[in-house]
Amino acid sequence: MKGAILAFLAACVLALVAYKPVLQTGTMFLYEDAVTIQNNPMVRGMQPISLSTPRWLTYTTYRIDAWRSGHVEDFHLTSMALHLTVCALLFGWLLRWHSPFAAFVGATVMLFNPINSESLSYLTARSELILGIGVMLALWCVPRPDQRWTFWRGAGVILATYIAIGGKEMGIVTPLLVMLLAPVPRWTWPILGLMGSVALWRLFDQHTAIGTGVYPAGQSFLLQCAALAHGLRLIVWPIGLTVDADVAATALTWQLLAVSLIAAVILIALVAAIAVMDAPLLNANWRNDWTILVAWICISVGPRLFAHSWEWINEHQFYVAMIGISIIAARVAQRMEWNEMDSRAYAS
Amino acid sequence: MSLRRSIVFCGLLVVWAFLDHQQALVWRTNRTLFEHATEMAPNKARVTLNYGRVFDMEGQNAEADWWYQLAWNQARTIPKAEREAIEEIVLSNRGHLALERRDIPSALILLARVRFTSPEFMPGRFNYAIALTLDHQCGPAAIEWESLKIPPMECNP
Repeated sequence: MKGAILAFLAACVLALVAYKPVLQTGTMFLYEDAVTIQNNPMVRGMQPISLSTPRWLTYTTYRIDAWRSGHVEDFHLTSMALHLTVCALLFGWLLRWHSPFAAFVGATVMLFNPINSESLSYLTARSELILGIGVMLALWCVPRPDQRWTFWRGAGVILATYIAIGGKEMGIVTPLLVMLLAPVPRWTWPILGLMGSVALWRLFDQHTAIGTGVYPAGQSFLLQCAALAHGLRLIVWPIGLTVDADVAATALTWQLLAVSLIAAVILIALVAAIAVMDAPLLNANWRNDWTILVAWICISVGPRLFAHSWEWINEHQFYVAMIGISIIAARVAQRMEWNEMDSRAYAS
Repeated sequence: MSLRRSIVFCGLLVVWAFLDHQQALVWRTNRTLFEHATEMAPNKARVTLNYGRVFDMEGQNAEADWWYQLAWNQARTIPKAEREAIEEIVLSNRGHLALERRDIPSALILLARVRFTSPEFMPGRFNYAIALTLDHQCGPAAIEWESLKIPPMECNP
């Protein structure tokens, strides 16, 4: 346990070193950070931050940074601290369920996977980091198999969902992610439903995004699937990371068709995998891992397929999906450890 | 976990840390950011357009105009719907830049070509260009500024 904690702390230091150039951006807010932060009346204190507005917590952290010094490096330091907080929460949570090595594997996958680099470097994407903290706090409320749901655990899920929505509108899916691991108490459902409804209402009140894009709905959905496939590929093979710049709006029709075909093949393969894993001859744990993994990605990224018709799912939007992938990585590491122990016991 | 697997995993972490470092280098300035994006993204027109917008926001109008023109050229190779969307934005934004430098003829030509099919590109800028032209020719009294919903101070700096 102590060794794993020290190794995790060393990994955090390595991550800080790797991301040091981001702290040297000078005085310039990059890309849309100028709009989101510099010219945002809520951040500049010209407009109050309503606690029923999605992203209220994100705007609050910007305002604190602006009040603290206003230096761009300080904004980046806060984002870095938030990412380390998510990874530390994940590490601690995994330690409750798995071996120290498995927890280290899961937390470092989250810490270092390059798809998360946009969430750290792009200040506008801080909303994803706070959403991640909300999701992790909700997971901390899930009782272990030898424990039971209590009133405080249920209240904790509600509070964590509120924090997640304070990060980004997608926080409304937090209870669904929790329910992949354990069903939340029924008394929390109306409250969570009401919170989700208010967040959705405020979202549509602010943006009339749906149906105003340049593509027909079918083509837009196809492009989103292509973007999803592109993002999943980047998690496995992180070469070709780019900017929040609609990378999946491919330049040529044949590229669009090819990427959409890949997306369709991946989706069919995942569904087939779940069906195969459902066979009673196979190990139930593997089936659970696959089911949780696919469901987690669908819940954390899926709603974004319908949210916009001009903007495609991009790298920082995989941040919460990466939490689920990291949990599965820890479970796989745990299983490999058990298999090795079994082999050694069998050999001896 | 066996030593060999642990070493492989640590190696993977080091590679990821290196890639994180490379991405952190990309996220230093708008120029490094968009040069990287233009290199990597399949839809170069969209990225180039965004690059132009960034310079536009920074007030570097000449550079923004250059990148907008490049986006226009790159858009010729992409599917119709995407091309038209990019062309609308390029025309609208270049027209806006022409207005800022008081190049009224260019602004009128550029803005007259915007199709105004999307609510994002309201014909306000076109009206603004006409209003400025009238302002030059007939004097401020000829223009119903209120009806254009543009503050007079903005139009008569």
